[in-house]
Amino acid sequence: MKKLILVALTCLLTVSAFGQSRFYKKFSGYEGMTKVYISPSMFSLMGDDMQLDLTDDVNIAGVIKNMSGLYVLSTSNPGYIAEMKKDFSDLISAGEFEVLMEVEDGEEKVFMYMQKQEDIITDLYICADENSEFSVIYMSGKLTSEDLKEMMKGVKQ
Amino acid sequence: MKADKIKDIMDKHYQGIEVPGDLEARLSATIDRLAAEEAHSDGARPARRVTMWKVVAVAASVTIIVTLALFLPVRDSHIQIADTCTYTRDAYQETEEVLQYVSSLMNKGVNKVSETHKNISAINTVNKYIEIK
Repeated sequence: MKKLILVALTCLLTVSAFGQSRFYKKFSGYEGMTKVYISPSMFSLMGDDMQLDLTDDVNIAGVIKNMSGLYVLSTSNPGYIAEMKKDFSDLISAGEFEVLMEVEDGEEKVFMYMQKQEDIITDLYICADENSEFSVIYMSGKLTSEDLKEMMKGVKQ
Repeated sequence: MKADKIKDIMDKHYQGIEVPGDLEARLSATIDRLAAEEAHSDGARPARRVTMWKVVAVAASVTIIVTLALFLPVRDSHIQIADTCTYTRDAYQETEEVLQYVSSLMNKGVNKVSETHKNISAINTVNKYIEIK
């Protein structure tokens, strides 16, 4: 019976961690943290709303259509940055992520990790450390590499 | 009558074959020893009795665990995180800004790759020139 209770607790903890960003929940409560959360429901509404003006600069309509969640956290507080870096590293090492891109240009660092199901990108984590501003972006959905290429075409550095 | 006849036939058949005198006693002792061992091993491992209530209890526990695991966290996640934007237009603009930023970061990486590629090509050209010389 004791074993059964232990198994039950493990199941509950595992499923609690699944499907939601504990990382976002933790840091969104910090004072002075810039945060953005767009829920799957909002994305589905965006897809239905034909009144929205689609931008000419970036071909993001296709990307938005396939997105189901967006989390952004950004801060310039050195204490928060150190903690975020540590937690982000733990988050990445705990999951099975594929490195999409790593760019280091002097003080500026950008890391992108993704999770794929066959050819579909289901999760995309972006960690950018530039000009003393540290940002973590998490995107979920069903994106293809073509979607990302299209998105990149519109924006030049 | 029949048993006597069989005994006679057997006696005739086995005439001349010597049988040890204590064979019967040894066989009897062996049979007794094996019977005692079997009885002892039966006592050490009593048969498991699975009662009906135990089966029901395990089934009920599994059902409760699965139900809790599937439904509790889902409700919890919806309560705790609230949407940043109330209107779809605001959410769209916010998403657009984030995606533009992500695109610029990706382009930064792609530019670095093409820069490196150009440098490698230049190095290869110089190497070829040195080889010709």
